[in-house]
Amino acid sequence: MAKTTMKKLSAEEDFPDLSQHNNHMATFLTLDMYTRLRELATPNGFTIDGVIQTGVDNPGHPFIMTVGCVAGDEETYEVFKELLDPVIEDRHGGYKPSDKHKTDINPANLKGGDDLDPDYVLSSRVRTGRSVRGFCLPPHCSRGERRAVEKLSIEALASLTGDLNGKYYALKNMTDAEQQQLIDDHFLFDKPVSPLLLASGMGRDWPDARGIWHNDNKTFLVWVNEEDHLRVISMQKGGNMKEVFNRFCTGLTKIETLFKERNHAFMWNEHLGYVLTCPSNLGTGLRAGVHVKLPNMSKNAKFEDVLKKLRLQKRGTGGVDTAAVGGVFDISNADRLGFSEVELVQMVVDGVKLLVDMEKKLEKGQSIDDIMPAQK
Amino acid sequence: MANSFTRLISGRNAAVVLASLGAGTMATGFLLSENVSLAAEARTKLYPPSSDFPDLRKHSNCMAAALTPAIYAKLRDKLTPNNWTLDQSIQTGVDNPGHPFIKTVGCVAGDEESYEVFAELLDPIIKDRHNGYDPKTMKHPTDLDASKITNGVFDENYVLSSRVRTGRSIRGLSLPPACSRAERREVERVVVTALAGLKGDLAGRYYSLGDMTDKEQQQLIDDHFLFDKPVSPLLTCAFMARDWPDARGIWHNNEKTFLIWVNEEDHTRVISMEKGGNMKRVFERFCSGLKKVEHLIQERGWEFMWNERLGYILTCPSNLGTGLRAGVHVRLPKLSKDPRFSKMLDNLRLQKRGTGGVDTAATGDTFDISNNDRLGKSEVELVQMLVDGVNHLIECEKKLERGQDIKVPAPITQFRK
Repeated sequence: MAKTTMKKLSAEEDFPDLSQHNNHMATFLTLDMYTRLRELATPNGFTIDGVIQTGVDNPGHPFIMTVGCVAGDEETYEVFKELLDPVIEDRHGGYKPSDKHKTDINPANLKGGDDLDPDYVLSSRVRTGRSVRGFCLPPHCSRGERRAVEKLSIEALASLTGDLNGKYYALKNMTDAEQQQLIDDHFLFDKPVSPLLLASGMGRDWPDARGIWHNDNKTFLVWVNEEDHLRVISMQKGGNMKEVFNRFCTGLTKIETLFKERNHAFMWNEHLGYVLTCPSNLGTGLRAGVHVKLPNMSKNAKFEDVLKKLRLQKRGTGGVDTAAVGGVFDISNADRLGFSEVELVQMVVDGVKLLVDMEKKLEKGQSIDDIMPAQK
Repeated sequence: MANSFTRLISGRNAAVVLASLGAGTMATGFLLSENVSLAAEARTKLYPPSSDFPDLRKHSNCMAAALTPAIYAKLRDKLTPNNWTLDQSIQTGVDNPGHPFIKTVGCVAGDEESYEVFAELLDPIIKDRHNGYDPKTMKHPTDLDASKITNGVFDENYVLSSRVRTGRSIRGLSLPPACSRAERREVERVVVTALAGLKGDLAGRYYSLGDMTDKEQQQLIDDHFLFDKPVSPLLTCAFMARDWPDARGIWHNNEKTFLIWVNEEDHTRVISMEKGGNMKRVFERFCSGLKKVEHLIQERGWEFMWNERLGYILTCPSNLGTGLRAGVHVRLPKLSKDPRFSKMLDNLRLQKRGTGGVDTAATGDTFDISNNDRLGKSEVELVQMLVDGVNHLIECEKKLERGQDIKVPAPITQFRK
């Protein structure tokens, strides 16, 4: 929600009270910085207040550091770089404003990954997001823009063939039967309830121009206009991450080509990689993960340390902010920016292999000390 | 494609439009100036109003009933002097389709000027919501002379408590959906400074939501004074919860009979209440308090938003005019079970709510009974209608107790012909 009027009231009078706050935005926003940034707007009229509203409204938690700011369009990352550069550096392990990000979605570069033990690795999944250049992002887009993104996406996806042949389900038109099937397949996304998303304006006009596309095989899925223009997901049961990543790269490349044929590129630059709504998803926007049984390993005192060294994170099987059920964890890469897609998936493949080896050793009552990894 | 636009707009604005056409360049920021609406200018040509018109087919609220593609096309690119837009006004109605049984308004004002700039949409909504009141032709009467109220003391065997509430907005500052943090803090400053000037039975204290101690918070909860961050999507979708709890607070007098909410759904909500049935005294304090506060803000060069077309200007069109809800908690064990109860209330221009307020159910036989109307009748008229209505209901209850029959009263006339 952009306000382009400068009132007679000063920047100091407008500066948010961040004394109770613990998020990346609150760490870096000073009065001086706010005073300068308050004078600016992106060409689409997005302002600093729009960027930070979610961080002002959601003070955060001492244990979980949220980002606290969003982009309303591609230009946000440039116009408000004074705030976003330090946020990005803090969130992405010291990534500097002068650093260049490597993109590599050539699946041939992934070594192994087709042999994760299916007795332990129950499912494999890779997701990322893409933004369509020339349209505002979910916090700021108009209904017309959101619909234009949907229309383009439907056209592009309708051109996919072979094992990527599929169908689009608009959220507002789906039948009860279709809805139930999508829920059973764990594909359906619903109107955001998280105040992190709602406070940034991403729930506006729901469910207009939102929808889900998936291929007939149910292994490749695209969300349209949820938290990003597109979220692209490749997934299947079992431990063949290589196959999942193959399909991911092939599908993404095809979709990008189809968009380009319609004169639309994805938002990308050599510093930030793929540009997405939340600064935490810049670079690759990639989260590659498995659901893996680690009942013994997860109780081991060294579990957290091992994950840290492998640059992995754990989540419950419901996704972010959920708890693990029955010793089954969602293990995925912690990084997004500063490593390529191939590098990140390689870390997951190698890391999960090691975790399963450790699990097997612990099952047999053996020690895992001799196979502790070095810091990646 | 760029050429047709550079023809229309010159200078710096041309660069703005070009950049927004998706040239893919990393544009540098543009300085804000008072009158440039970057968003509106850049997108007008790319996105005709028809591409932005909301899908209201499943909607049942006053906004959805009144908004046509033609009206939307006319108003979409207009701005109030505070750069508030139609899309922002209707966002809550787009996001909350409503319910066939409960017709919500579905739009809000961002500032006083919204009611002028978007009159083409808001006037029919006002007419629909306020029984045919036509802002184009009619004038709203304001009357805060409490001495005119007759029979305003209820039988306390039936009436447990009496309450009058309204809202007031500070002219010159944007309303809760639109205000910046600075404006909201200015509202707080203006109001709290004025309230500090109240004396005698109105002397009191302000509790800022962000600063109150746990003990103060518990006391306010026990007194039923505390308001919390809105959870209703009707309000959150209208941007009213931004920056919570910054510049929000509660003021009340030492006797706990006069209470003001600052920066919740309106700049101020003013409440006079007491246990028992002395509605006349409640209304006297209400009027006296309001006048004193008005005088105190005027001393410092401020005034309330008011005009003779719409009366007191508040955030929600449903609260225009008097913004007044006068009500009682009243026990009506026999009458409430009578099948004619609802019709009686309708005819008396009264509504029932549960004792938790709007959208709650009644507990036992005790109801919150209050006036339906807000606009087109004065404060005195509405309170008198409430007084007469409640007295009538109590008489009916007594008759039923004695085994006598009751009659449904004739309907009170409204504006609709």
